[in-house]
Amino acid sequence: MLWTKQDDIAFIGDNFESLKFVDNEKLPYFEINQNELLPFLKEIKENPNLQFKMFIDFTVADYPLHKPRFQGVYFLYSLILKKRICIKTWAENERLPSLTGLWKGAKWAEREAYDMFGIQFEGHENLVRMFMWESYQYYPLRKDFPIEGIKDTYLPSLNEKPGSMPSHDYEEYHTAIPTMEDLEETEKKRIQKKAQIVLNWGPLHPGTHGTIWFLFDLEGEKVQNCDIILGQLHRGVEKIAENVTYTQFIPYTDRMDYISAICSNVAYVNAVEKLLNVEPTEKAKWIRTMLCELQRINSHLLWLGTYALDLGALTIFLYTFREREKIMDIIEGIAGIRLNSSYIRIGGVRLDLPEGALDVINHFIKDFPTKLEEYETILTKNRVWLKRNVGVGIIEEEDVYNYGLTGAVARASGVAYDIRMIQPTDKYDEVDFEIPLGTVGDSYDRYLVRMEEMRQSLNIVKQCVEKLEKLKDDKHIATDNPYVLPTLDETFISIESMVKDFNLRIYGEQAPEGEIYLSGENPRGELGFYIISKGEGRPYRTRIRSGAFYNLQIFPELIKGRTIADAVVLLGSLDPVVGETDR
Amino acid sequence: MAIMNNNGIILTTAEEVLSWGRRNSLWPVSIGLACCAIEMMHTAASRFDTDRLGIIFRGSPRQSDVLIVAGTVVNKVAPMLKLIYDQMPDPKWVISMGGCASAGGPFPTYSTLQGVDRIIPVDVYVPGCPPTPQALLWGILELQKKIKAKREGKEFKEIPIKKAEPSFPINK
Ligand code: SF4
Repeated sequence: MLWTKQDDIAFIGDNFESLKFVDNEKLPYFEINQNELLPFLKEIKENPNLQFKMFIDFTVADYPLHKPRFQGVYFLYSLILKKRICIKTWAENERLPSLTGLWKGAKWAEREAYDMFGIQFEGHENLVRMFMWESYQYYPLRKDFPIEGIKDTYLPSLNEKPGSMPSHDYEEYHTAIPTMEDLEETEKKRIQKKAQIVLNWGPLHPGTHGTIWFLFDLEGEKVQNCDIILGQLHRGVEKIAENVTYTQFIPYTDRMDYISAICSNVAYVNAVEKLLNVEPTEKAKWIRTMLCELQRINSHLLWLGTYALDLGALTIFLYTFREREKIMDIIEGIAGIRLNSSYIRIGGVRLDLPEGALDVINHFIKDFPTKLEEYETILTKNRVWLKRNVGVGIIEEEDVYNYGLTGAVARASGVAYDIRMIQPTDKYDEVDFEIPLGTVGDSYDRYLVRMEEMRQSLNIVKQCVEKLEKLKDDKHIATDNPYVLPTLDETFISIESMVKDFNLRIYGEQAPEGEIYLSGENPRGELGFYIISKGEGRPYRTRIRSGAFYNLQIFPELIKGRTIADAVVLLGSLDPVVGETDR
Repeated sequence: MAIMNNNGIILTTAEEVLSWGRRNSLWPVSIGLACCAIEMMHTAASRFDTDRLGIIFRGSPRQSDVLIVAGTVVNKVAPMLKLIYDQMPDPKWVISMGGCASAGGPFPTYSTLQGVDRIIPVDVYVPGCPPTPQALLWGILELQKKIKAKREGKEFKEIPIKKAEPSFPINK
């Protein structure tokens, strides 16, 4: 991705005194005073020559020794320049102006910043906690908060028998657990009953695709108002990232978006590689591209299965899981693990392709189109399917920019925003594929787009296999680089590799000082990693821009005025994964 | 023990029948919490097909007798999980699936519950991150054995874990 530089916005520069440009090689950014932030953002958003209309991300970094302590970081995307911009501003008195007037997508991001750092946003409509519950007292992502939390509650294991020795050493004291009253208060703060009844949907409901908690204010069957409570799977991944080395964090990336583990791995590793200036080998790049696309098919199959299941078509669920098993077998054969494979490494991939892997994939490529046709025969022209999907949850193009929607949700509304095209990583610039676009932007379009995406993915896989057949003897990981872990064989054979392995594992990759923002096209949208390095073995801050988090944000808007039955359709067609929204 | 004589009559005890019925119709609540839930779905779907074992996932806790805790339990969801457990009719059993549910797994953080056994008693722990469907099936079969053993008045023999001496004093 190209980043906006001074020259691009030179013609408005004079109006803003405090505007400063810092030309970092990896992430050039602008710095501006807090009081000029809103006018500046408004200017670049509305200026017809700039059109930074699309909201990408907002986050905060904590520098305890600096005054003021917190720095807000904004990422926007311009439709005309096709470039991103990074804007930073220091939060005086731990306050920042709210961006919700300009971009609705900022609402949740600001709530998250309030939840994690305790920053107040002036002008925010309802600044409540995003992930934690209302009476929680701490701000976990602040640097002075310990990762394991404050253990102040006595909570021993119930499996211990009184009088007997505990089965293992463990701490009987635990972090505080909310009471039901706490959760009720959390709920009350978000929605007040105005119509007939407030209906809770979730958090532990089979239809909510995980642990999302919906609140509907209902008038009869019609939804008058809606809000979502997230955080039922908030595991503190961003906090963990600050405490582990770059390689150690790879397994956490698959556990975030567990349905498309390899895509998340690749997005993260690409960002780290760019930060460390590591160039993976040719073969590794092809393997990554191939597995990413297989994973995308896998992910879309799960979406299709559960989506159809929610709408009452159990058959499809069983059919798609049949195909998923095949892909999982392929991944297991290559990576050794079915689901959370952690197969990608800095500089390449963990293992070389095993013998016969390409044959199996070839077979899958031949077999899969017939299966895809089978699904389409059952669904695409099905009367019930059409009735439930057509015209439900229409997303306008403006809303895509406003909320920062990405992935298939954006493309179904006709916005050709695909990271694989605009910022190709790995081998996406060498493969041939098309981006399907929708016209209306309703649930049915999202369904069609994803179905076509599976075809395109299959096409990419085919090209990768052809390429990989010629690269049989190449190396799968660039172990010559000082930042890349040696393979197991090398560690056993040479003492240098062993020392290097030891150093990297214990002290981590000593990344050069700097920052990086790089994203990958996940099945659920843009998954971005914003990493700040202070030249240590561990990142100073890792921000994860989750596609599902932003996509889900439009849900309350879309469901308003519709019947409660549409909630299932809408949620299914937005396809969030809670591990990624909550992190 | 059921005894069959030549006239096709089965003699048994009511308790035996109940236990037989219970262990062969374990109905879990369909709750998915995180990644492990995907593997749980795979266990229920086409290839592994738990219906063969009489395991049918139910949407309501009131119709179920097994709770498979599949995934990370964070502090915020813990009270609700307990509520669901309390809503299940007796007798009920709990399978803790995966490292997260068993002991916090890879998330030793401020927001994660370090083991679901701190809020509800667990019968079977299935290790793995995530456990494969085969492993979950093993856990279910293990639970069946446990139910059977309880009926016969024996305590189910668990694999004894050797207790290591604490290497450092724990000050509380
Ligand atoms: S044990 Fe592993 S796979 Fe299961 S929920 Fe935890 S992190 Fe996910």
